[in-house]
Amino acid sequence: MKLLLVEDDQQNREFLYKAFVEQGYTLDCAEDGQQGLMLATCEHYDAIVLDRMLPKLDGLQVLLALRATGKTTPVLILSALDKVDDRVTGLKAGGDDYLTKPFSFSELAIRVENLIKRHTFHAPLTTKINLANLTLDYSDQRVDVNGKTLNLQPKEFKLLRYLLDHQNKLVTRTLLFESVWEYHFDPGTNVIDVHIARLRKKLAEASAQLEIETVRGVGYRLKANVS
Amino acid sequence: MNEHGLRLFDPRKSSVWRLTLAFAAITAVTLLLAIILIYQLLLGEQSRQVERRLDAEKTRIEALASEFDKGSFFQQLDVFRNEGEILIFWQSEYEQSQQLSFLPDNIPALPQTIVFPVLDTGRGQIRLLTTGKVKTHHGDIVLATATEHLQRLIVDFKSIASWTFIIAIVLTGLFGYLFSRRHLRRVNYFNETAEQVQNGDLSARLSHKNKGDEFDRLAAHINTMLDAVEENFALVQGITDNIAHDLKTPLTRLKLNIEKRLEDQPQMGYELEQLNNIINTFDAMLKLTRLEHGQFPLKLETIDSSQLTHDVCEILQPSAEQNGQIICVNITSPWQLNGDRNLIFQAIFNLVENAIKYAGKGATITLALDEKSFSVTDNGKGVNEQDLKQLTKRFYRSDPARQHEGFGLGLATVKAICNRHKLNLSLSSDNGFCVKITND
Repeated sequence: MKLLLVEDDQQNREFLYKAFVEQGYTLDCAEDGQQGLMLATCEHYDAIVLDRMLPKLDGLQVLLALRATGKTTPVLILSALDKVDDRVTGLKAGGDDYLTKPFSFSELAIRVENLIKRHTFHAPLTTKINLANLTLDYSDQRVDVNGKTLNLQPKEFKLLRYLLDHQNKLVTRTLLFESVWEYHFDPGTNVIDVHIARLRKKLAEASAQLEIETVRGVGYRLKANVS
Repeated sequence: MNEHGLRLFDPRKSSVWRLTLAFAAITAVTLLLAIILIYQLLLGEQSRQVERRLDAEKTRIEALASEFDKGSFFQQLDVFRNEGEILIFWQSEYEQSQQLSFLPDNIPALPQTIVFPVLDTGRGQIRLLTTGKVKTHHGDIVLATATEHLQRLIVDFKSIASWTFIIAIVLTGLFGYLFSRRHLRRVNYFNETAEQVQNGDLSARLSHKNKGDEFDRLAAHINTMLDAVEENFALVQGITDNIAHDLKTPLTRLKLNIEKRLEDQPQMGYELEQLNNIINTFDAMLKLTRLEHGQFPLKLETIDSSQLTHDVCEILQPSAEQNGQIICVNITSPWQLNGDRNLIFQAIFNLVENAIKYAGKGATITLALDEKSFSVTDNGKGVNEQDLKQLTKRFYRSDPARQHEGFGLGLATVKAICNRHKLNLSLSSDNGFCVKITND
């Protein structure tokens, strides 16, 4: 997987470079809009992470120019401006996702991963996801633990599915809220925590060998807990 | 401000229309005076001449009556009858002078007169006679003079005068109405522009001609003022954007670094949470400011209000249960609401979350939805009158110890979201606390 990172702040650029490389990506970096646009049009990338405010050529203009050339590479816009209209104009200009600074790397990583998945979508061979002794079948909305069906509310099912889709990865609360409840809004720590606690309880009662780990300040990580 | 209220504003309510009515009244009075004056000068004088002539004749006849005996008196009258314009009739045992086919009984004594029509068989036309009676000891003498010209003039004058009067008043009213409508359109244009500015479009300007009337001059002044406001606003906006940008780049570094270290030092999670709180407060303040100043464009869509209510209930239900509270949803009928889905969700979420925080353990929280209102009611200890007014202000929290988490921006944000959607927000505290959002 090859990414292009266009970010003018050197420290952030270096940090993100290292973090993405650790995740197994290959990266090209650009420090201004011109360089970014040149690389984006000449090379092939699986996804582009583009800062909104860039020297020489603004992020939005880079995006518009890129789309004008016919390139459909998925683009995630990073912005410090934090205006909703900024988000809307960013997405209108051809951006595929949007993240406001300051962000958590876990969230950026999952968003980039989702973008690439969506862009190169192939129908999966199976509708089942397995982890330890749990099987989730999203075609008939069923969760089995040790062959016994687990009784989940629709939102709990979506929550579990999202965590399973991103197993062993840190999932932030905003991401969960956006994909499970489908509102763009940060409901605060407690609210999601309570839902996770319920899900945890149900999984434990069914003696599923899974653990939803809470990572303070970031979010949750679902992993197998085979002991 | 209600947009429709402005557009449908009745021209009859404008100040110009009231001026028109006053002006029409003045015109009417002036016209009436002018008509009376002209009448008196032209026709009144002629009428008086007729009366004077009849009066002079009366004096003469009275003199004759006292001077002569009955026989010679009537002889004298016969002579008179043939020399002047005045017609003289009498009825006596000697002779009867009757030039008329009909003489009414109700002829008053001079100087009072009466006008009546007679058919002049000799000329074959209807004549109008002004007639009066002279009482003498020889009998009643009737004097008459033909005044059909004068009478016709009077009738024509009256008809022309009343038509002139009616047309003048109607025209004054009509033009007044048209003027006030035009005037009102221009005032409405000002109002609409003001509303545009109020809604955050600072680039709105009034079009005007350079050397126009007082409206154009007013428009020019308002435009100059708006230029200054926009300039200042852009300056402040630039500053906040720069602050946001300059602050957020290092915050990003900090956040990414702490997150990186979490793997080895999980206790850094506390620092990260604190940092997140700072960022959230900062974001919430920026968002509130933008909402209040109309810089937050709405993504309007038809909202499924009952789904949204259920969503809020569903997401907050576990939190309520933790406090031993029950959330009841009572949907009479869905509210056809056009608005920004995420913002409306946030508003309702904040209200229910507040109820969970402040209603106390074991309370019942009711979410009610009908055609044009949404309300969140709890049966907690309520809020005192003084706090009620302060609650929607920024950073106001009724618990002085600030024992609950939050920034005190919740209700202020709800208020701003409602204002932005032109919805009403009302707080009341009879039994427990109730917040109601209504349309209009």
